Amino acid sequence: MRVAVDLDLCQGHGVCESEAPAVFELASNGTVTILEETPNEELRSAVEAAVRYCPTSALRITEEDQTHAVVPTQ
Amino acid sequence: MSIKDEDGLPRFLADEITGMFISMMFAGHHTTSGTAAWTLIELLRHPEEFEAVHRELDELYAGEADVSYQALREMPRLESAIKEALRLHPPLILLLRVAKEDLDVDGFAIRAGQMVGASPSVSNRIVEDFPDADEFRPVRYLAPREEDRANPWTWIPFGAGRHRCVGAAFAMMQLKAIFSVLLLHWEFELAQPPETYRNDHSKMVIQLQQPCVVRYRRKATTTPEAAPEVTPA
Repeated sequence: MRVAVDLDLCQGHGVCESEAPAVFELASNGTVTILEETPNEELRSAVEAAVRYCPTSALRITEEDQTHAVVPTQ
Repeated sequence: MSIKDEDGLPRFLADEITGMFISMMFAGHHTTSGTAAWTLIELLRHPEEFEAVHRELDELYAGEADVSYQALREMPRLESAIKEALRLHPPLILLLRVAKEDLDVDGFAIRAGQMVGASPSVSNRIVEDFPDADEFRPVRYLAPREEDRANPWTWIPFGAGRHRCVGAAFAMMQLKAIFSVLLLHWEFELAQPPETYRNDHSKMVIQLQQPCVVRYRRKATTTPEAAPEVTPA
């Protein structure tokens, strides 16, 4: 799994950091820094929560591992 | 008001700050009340969906234990019903943006500085993104479809992008709280033919066209006291 942020949308609410502190950190300029672009599978539920509850919809899981079932988006 | 810009001048004028207050206050009232009304109407029109929401709330509130923030954040059946009411009946039907640069959109030239309108009423019913676009189908928000997340630029009851509704998460939580309390103590039924509930687009602010009436009564487990008709909007 790969995580991406649209920094044009990020407003630094920090929900992602509280959901998955190993993956996201709020930088000093007020937007998110992705600490781990390809987090381990055991972080999946935390990362999915971060994506789901981002108040500005700035986060995406952009790419899935070959071994993991890809959820169709359309 | 004390914030200064790079030249040391006030960053915001008094009327800009007044405008922010007015927009914050107005933005959170008719939008949420209209959405609450439409969610209730659509659930009454679709008893099987109402039943699913009832079951979800009954399970959630079965014990005396406190309901967690996480449980409130989830409520997938109720949240999906609210999202579907928002898709079909967005409280704002036109969102205005200013083009930052010259664009060509399907052969239409848009010049930098021009104002462009995006309509949630139209966009939310694009059939390629939302199959059975005119139907109330809350299941479209459940995994794996998640059609709101899959179409962030066409599922736009809250707008999209940098100026997406700042109150979206608050509104959703507020609506969940409203229905948690309402459905716990009250029963509802339609008090007019189902197809007669519609929006009145003739005012600046969209509201439900009057009359817009449902019947409600206190649930039998509490005080058995019938209540009169009420206007939900």
